[in-house]
Amino acid sequence: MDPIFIGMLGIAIMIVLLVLGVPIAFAMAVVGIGGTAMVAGLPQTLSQVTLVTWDKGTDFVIVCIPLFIFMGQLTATTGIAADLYQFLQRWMGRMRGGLGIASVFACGGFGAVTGSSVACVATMGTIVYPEMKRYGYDQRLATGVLAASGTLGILIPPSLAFAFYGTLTDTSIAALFIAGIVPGIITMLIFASIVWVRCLINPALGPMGPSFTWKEKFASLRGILPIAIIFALVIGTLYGGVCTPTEASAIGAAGVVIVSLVMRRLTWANLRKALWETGMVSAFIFAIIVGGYLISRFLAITQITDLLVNYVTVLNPSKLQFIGFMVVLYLVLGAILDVFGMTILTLPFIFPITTALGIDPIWLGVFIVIMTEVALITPPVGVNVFVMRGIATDVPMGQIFRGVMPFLLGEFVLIGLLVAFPGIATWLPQMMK
Amino acid sequence: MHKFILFLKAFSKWCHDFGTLLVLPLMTMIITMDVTLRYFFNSPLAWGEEINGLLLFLVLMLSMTYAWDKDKHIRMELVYVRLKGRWRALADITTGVTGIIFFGFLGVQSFRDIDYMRKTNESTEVLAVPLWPFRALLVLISLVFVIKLVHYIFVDRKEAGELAIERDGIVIPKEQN
Repeated sequence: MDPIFIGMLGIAIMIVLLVLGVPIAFAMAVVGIGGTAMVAGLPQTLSQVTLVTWDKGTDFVIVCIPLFIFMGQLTATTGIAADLYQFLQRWMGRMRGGLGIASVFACGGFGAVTGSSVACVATMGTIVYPEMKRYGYDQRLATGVLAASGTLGILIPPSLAFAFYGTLTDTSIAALFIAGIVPGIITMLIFASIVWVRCLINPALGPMGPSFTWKEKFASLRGILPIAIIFALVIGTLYGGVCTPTEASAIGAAGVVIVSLVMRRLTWANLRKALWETGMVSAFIFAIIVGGYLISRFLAITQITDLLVNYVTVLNPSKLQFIGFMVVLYLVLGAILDVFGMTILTLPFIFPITTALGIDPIWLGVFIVIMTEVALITPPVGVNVFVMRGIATDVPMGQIFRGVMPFLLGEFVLIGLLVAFPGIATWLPQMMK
Repeated sequence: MHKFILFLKAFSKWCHDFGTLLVLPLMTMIITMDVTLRYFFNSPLAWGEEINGLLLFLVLMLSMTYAWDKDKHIRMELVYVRLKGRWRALADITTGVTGIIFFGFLGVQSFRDIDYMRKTNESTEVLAVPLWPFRALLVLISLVFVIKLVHYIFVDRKEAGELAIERDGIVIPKEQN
């Protein structure tokens, strides 16, 4: 049978399996195994499966994935997020929409110590939503800003999504982390502006919060110290070229343990829960990585990837046209898949094409992470919206999705800026040691 | 049979506990120590990277079957949660079969590798840690997974509507309307 036909058939079978709800790792692995067996024979397939599992399972670079997960999980249980929010609330709470603006920056700050957007929205939502409710914030604005700002968890480093992308494409994870900083700050500014302008037009949306004395305001400065220390440990050492991402992840994790010990917030129950979750999340991510590699190798031996790259090269699209296509592709996929599924399923095709078109892999990483941010807040599978719904049980899902819409537009403004000025993502990594 | 499955569940939990409560902190400590020794004493651990690779393998493999028990392996849920009756059964059986193929292949080849690895004394470069026990672990984990999947196909399939969406340890309630 023609290898290209086998490749096409494999892709079709994989889509059917995914639609049926077969776990993504199983679907990709079984198509990779079956296809490779048909093209290259059973003995080679058997050794491929073990080889990929062993190579990736002992890869020092991948060590950073469980350790960043551990760091984020532990941070979420230590109360560091509440301290950060308290600081921002005391300094910004008296502005129109101040609590909303504070929640944007608090999510950004919390994103600097956790790599998961779900952890970010769950932690900050639990702290901030009751406050906003107490001060009479509009439900749509309150839930919308929290669900949208939670996405900052995967854009601002350290980020699991960047680590995952870097592992799959052999792109420098350190450079990807650094590349997320400027777009992350711009996102915060855009989101904060949206809240501010909306509350300026309609002050009833975001009434003023409580007032604090200067003494109370300065006392709250202590709240940002733990996050500043951990961020400096991880990103400072990465940017300065002192540590690799794996080393930075271990130092960050150890840093969170030490900081929470000093703050007397480390309990055995918290530590155990963080370690438990880390094991399970790492295991499923690893299964996806193995499945992804198996299907990528299958597609490579069928030469489907080459065919696709050649086809796109013949079509000769401009970078802008291809980016437009990717926006549509990720919007569609983001509606049905989660961050990991979306990335792993598209990279075997997208990455070689973008490389052929001369698109910077760091820029592509940032672009894909921003598109996954969009996916996290778009229906029907807006995971952050689901999480927010779990916290704000008095607000219907539809209201939260409507509340998210202005911020979704903000994300598109960011994508526009990223396309117009690619340096937003690539400038800072170029400055690295 | 029921007792055997309960035993396997307890075994998976024990593996997960061992991997996360012991190996993961050990990994963190070794890397932190390595960086500290390198930058402050100019004396890095020559075996640090090697041992951490092996520890990573342990963490990932030891949690693999427990993640299945806890329904952590992610899937596209949009259609799956709406499937009922035969279609749900078809989806679940397909899940089981694909998993059996994946872990079956992994287990069979790992089992075949063991003998060769022992004969050639395949080991790590610096510490000369023999590698065949890691392959043996892979065989064991694959075998447990395959048994669990067979049990899943015939006994343990989820009923329609039972599936809970969960991410990073956070249970996400479904829309009830």
